[in-house]
Amino acid sequence: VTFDTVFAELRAPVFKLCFRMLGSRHEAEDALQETFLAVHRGLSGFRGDATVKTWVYRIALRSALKVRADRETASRTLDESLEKSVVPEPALEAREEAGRLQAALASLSAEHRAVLALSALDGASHQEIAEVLGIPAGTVGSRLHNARKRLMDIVRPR
Amino acid sequence: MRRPPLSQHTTDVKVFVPRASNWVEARGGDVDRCETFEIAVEQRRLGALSAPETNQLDEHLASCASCRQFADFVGHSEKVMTTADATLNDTDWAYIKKTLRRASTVVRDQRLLHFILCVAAAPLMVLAIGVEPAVVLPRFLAVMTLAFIARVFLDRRLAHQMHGIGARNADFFDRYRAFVKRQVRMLWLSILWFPVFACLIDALGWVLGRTDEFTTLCRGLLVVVAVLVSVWLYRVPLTRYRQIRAQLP
Repeated sequence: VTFDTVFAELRAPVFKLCFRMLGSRHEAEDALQETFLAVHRGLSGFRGDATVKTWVYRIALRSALKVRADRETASRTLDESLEKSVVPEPALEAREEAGRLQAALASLSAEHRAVLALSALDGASHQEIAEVLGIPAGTVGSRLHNARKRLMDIVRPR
Repeated sequence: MRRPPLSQHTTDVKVFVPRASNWVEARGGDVDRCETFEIAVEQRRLGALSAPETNQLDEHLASCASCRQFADFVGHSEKVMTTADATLNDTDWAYIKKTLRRASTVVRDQRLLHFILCVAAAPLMVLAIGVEPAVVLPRFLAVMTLAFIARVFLDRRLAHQMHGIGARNADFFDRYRAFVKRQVRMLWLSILWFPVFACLIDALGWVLGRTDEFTTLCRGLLVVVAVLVSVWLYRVPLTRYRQIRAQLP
């Protein structure tokens, strides 16, 4: 597996994952670059314990968490995220709902956001999510459910 | 409250779908049972439910407003997450790839630097320890070797910090790459300087007809100068690093 192949194949999903983790395009680019730098450094020593995709996703999550930790204030990122989110011509109410949802996503814990971001990737399987997060396959559903409920509670308080 | 018993698994993936006999029409009345179905909603999205389990879930959703609301929210939140995704155009990707290429060059240069330092340090150390005190070089080389080894670690730490910052700034990489190349060149020169300097000292003592004390003093002075130069060599990238860092947003 060459770096160019990995980059060509995984750059888009990694960027999506980073963006969903961070909610900011600029920060997602930072995380993307850090991810592929780490991939470049580590690819020669990749032992094949997991699939390349799982390995890269793990690195991407770590990079996103690092960028997130470096973030100065949560509010700055939230504003940026809302500014840069592109929801194509929704009705006002739907736009507000989308805005609330984005804001709620930004306020979730890293653990919850990671599982939601991974599950929203095209073709991400149950097993892959478990491997990336390092949790048993049987707990993916419940973790995802917890994250979703938390999100729901924030967006639509009872 | 205990979660209801789980179903017999019809696939090799463990899912949280209860036995049909335990399913209830949970119209907002049994939160715990509904939670089990809500987890099944998530499982279905990931393709982890078998066809019979999916049918059972659909049956339940048809009769449970609470779970239906949750399923709707799942779909809605997924849609918002995916439609709000930022995208990168070809120019963005080209820029990112260019930056990555530069970064990988820096990493390669850095590895080369470390390799050369390690290769250079080993024979110098052997020479410094193994040669008799009366012969050219010993203390001088020992100190210089230690200075070199210290610089390897300092460089590693510095490089680590620079990579983190450099990944966000393509211009920075150009400057840093040039810096690393200069480091490598200076290293080669340094390797040549040591024996040359030591021989010069001995030759100077011989020409001037001075005593061993004079030669020792000169060597001592050279060691001090060499250490100061080494420290200065480290101060240069450190200062540059701080300057660049201050300019970054």
